Amino acid sequence: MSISKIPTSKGRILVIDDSEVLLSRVKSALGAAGYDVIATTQTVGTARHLQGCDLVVVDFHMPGFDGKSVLGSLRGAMRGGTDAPPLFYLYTNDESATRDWSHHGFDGVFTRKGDDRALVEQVDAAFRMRRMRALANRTK
Amino acid sequence: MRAEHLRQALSCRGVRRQTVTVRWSVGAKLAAVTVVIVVVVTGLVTLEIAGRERETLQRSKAASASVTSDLLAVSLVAPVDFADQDAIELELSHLSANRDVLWGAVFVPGATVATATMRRADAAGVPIAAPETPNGGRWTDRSVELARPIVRADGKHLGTVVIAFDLAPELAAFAESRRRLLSRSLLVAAVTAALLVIASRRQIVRPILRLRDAASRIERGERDVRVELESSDELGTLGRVFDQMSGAIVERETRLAEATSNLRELFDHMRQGILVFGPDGVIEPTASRQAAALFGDVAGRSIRDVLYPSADTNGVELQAFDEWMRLAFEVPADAWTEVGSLAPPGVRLGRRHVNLEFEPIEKDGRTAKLMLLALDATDVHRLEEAVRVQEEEHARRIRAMRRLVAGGGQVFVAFLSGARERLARCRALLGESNDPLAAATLEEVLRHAHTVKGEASAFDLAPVVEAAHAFEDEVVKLRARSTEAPRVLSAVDRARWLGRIDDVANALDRARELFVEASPIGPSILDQITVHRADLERLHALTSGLEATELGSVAGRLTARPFGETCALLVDKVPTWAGTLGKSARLEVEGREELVPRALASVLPGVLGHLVRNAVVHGLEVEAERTQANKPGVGVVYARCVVRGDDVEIEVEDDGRGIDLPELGRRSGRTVIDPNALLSGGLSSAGETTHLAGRGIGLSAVRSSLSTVGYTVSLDSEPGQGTCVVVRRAPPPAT
Repeated sequence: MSISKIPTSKGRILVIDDSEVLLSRVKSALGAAGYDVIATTQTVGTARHLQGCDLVVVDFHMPGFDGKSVLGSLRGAMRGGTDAPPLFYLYTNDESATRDWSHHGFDGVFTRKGDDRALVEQVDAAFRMRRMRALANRTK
Repeated sequence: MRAEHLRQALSCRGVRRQTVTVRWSVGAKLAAVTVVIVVVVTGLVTLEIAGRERETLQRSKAASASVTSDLLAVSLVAPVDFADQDAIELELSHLSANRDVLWGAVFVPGATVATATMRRADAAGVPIAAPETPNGGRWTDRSVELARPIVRADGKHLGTVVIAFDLAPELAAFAESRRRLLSRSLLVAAVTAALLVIASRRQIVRPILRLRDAASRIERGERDVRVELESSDELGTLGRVFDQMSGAIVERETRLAEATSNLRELFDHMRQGILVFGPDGVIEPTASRQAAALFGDVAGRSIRDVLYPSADTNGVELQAFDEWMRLAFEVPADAWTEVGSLAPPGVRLGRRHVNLEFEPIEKDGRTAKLMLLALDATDVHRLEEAVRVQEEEHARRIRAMRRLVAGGGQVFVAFLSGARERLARCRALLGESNDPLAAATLEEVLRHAHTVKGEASAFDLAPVVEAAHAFEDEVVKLRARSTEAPRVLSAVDRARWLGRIDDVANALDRARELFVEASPIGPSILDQITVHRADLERLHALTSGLEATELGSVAGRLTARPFGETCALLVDKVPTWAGTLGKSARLEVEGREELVPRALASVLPGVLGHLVRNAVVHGLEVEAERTQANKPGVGVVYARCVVRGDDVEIEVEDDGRGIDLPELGRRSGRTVIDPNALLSGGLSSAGETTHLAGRGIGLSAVRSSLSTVGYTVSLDSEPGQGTCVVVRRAPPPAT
């Protein structure tokens, strides 16, 4: 991206995945789409990134733990919490996880993992939904 | 009970009582009304005439009866006066000759029973009553009874004679007359009604039926329908008005059809596919041709299925669309701007990318329908993707080149030079004639191609590698034909080989240009060699005091540094600094190959760091403020090196807001009229202290640093236009 196209950030996203390669691609794709991205393979100390974060994207299958336990620890760290808690989305191609995202406590699921353009489109949709809910609350 | 049972049975069978409505045509109604009126009028007239006839008959009867009564009264005077009963009865008996007389009787005054009576044979049962008055008449259904006084010549009232005259013949005649009148009246009424019905049918009903049929034909869509009524009455006028109306409808329909056709043409020739749907998401039948091309037949389909044909319900894009649909039709129409911004900007349909734009169709302050304008942006997206890939590739190569430059650009310069020499040698070996190529020659050409390819690989120069590989392939193919005999290169092959060599040379040129672009010192990088710093320091010491000589001049140039070298890191820093402040900015370096004297070069990195950072922090505005001031959103900081005689001047200029001297004075508590006051320290144009600026010591430090190497700094600022800081050699002290 050329300097003359520096956009203002569309939102801050925390991405947690065990694959450095995937994180690098996700960071590049979402960054190019105008998001401020924090990408990490670590789960310890990750909660410090939640401040000011709009969206948390969590991989489901990670060595030693799964997205559900990561979500639990992040939500636990938020208790006492922030005014506008982030959205928590699962990022997986696992069919059962895709089906049960709500049961696991997530706000939604991003599918087609590996398709960076699809991820950007899905993240855009999630941010739009967040704004829609805010607008709906205002107009009630 | 039975009726109730039947009613319940009918009710159970679902039989509903129906009201039969008889539809009367206008003709039938007119005929009925006419018949009723004529019959009523005829009846009334008949009754009136019959009444009058009856009255006339009765009056004539009464007149004749009165004469008879009067004569009898006179003839009875003597018999009654003498009480001659026989004479009285004789007189009365004369009445029997009159067939009109029913009975006759004589009453003496005060008597209630007749002194003498006479009855007709058929009137035996008819009662005879005394008259109420001696002179008068009384009518009954069947007769008229006339009483006449019997008065002597001296006026003495002797009695009363009463004669009842039969009215039966008159009543019979009256009845016959009335029947005749009535039958004729009815005949007249019937004929009149028939004539009226015929006339009304011809004059009213038929024209009305023609109007009705014409209206029905227009309703069915027929055009140019005329009734052409020729009469001059109101219906004729109505017919002419109808014909005019029909003509006007035709004209209007023609204009409407033309307008519709034009609109449709316009609609279909728009690049965007247009369709309309309501809150239920069902697409209306009217959609543009382009919409059909994009989505197929959409009429009656759900917009959700059209835009997301393969999405599952868990898909976040589909969820977002569903939520947006609900919101779009729920919120007031004046909130559309925000709702519209939340609509999906595009969808991917297979390999196509469709941009979406939604427009509301309002009704009563709400969004009643939505119009979708869909544009196939596949080519644009493909182009953007290609540009993005190309930009990424360019950035990757630039990064590789920067690493190369940082790690020893002279090696690369040597490679470029060596590769060119190898290509020139290949051209020379191929020669210009079609002489056979010696095996050794072929091997040498192959070796050069292979070496260029290998060296280019080491520098990650994919285009050069590919071009060299293609050339190498050509050579290998020729060599493979025979290992013994000399190889003959045809004119065509020779031209192709030379073309391959040109390809490699061109790829090298592009690599050279990229190398220069990546270099902070521009083309000067191609002319640099590596020397030991200690040797330069020694040379500088040996030539001290000899600056005016050629030796001193050469030594000065050797120890000088290119200006671009000083700015290399700042190019990347400026966008980062600006980003942390919510701004957008870039650094433009001019004169990067110009040589900065050794002394100035030693302090310039720090100086430029201060000045450029100041420009970003204090000078440049945030994007919104710049847009409001009609400036590009991205602020620019210029770092220039300009040669002035034997020396250089460094300028750092920005296109920001300039220095607000009154504000500066207000904050410092003193009047500030010259921006150079900032150089004295303690003043800052920043409102608050950050890690980037605000302590008011930056420019003071810059001035101090420059003064140690014999340079000075000055400021010039134009409110709203920007600030320029100039570094130049300090003037020699006055003697």
